[in-house]
Amino acid sequence: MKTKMNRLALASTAILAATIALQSQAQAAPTTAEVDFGGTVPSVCTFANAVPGTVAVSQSLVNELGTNTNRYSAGAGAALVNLSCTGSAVLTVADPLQVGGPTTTTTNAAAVYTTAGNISSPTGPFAKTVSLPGGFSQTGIRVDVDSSAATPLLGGSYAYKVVLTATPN
Amino acid sequence: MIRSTLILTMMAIASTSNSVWAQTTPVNDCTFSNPLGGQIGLSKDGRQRLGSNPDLYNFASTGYIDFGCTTNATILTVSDPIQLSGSTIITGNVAVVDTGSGLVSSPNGTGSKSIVLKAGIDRAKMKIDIESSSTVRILSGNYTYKIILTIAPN
Repeated sequence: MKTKMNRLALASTAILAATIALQSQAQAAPTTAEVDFGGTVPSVCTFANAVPGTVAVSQSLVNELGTNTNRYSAGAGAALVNLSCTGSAVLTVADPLQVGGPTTTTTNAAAVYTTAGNISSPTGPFAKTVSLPGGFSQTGIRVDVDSSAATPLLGGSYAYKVVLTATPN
Repeated sequence: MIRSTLILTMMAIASTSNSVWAQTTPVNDCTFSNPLGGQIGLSKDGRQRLGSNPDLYNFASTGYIDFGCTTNATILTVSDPIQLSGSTIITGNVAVVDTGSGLVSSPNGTGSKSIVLKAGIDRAKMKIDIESSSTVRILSGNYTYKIILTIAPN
């Protein structure tokens, strides 16, 4: 009986020691902290990757030039530009501004073709504004120029600048 | 003697189950203080990203927090940024903490996910930057995030 009690006591002591050892390994709780971040994404539009177009003389009229390949001689080509907006916006285009060429063209119009609608500059035939929905994004927006002079165009290099304006609402 | 040992042992076993017996609660002497939130803005390179690093993002500023431990070395980790608001739900969120003795990335980041900080060194103004990459266009509006820093015993 005494031997049995001794063994039990020994085992109990071992358990106690193990228990105390386990307790002594208790760790402090992790500590946390929060840091906040915030900001406002403004409603903005961004033009990017503009590719210049090329004007060529009309296939039938010697006083006209432009970029539309269906109406102008070989080498004509529309300009391209990417546009993206974080919010809704309105797009407009100005009449082309002639910045080079031996003959001054007096009638200059630009046309812009977007997935939200087509517009033309004040001299052109299309609507003058187009509403772009929030998050509008399009690559390769086509921009055409049509110009004509009162007299036949003299040979030489002609250059135009077209300003597109996207105004966030 | 034998009886008293048995009684003590039973108490010890009982204490294991309810975790209240004879335990001295360790003191975590590490503290965070003076958290300074950051400002996020759109990426300067036109990509669909928001972030707080002013070198890479418009109208952005880094977040800061002070930290120190007097006696125990600790392991620092940082959570991925949690988006609290914003008109576009952004899924690619990463935080990076510059402790002054190494960088720590949140789980979505590519760098080390934890760092051991030695005791006795106060780290004033640890830098915290977040970056949030969207697979869709980020729309205008207010965006807020929070990150959680955790220190645990080493």
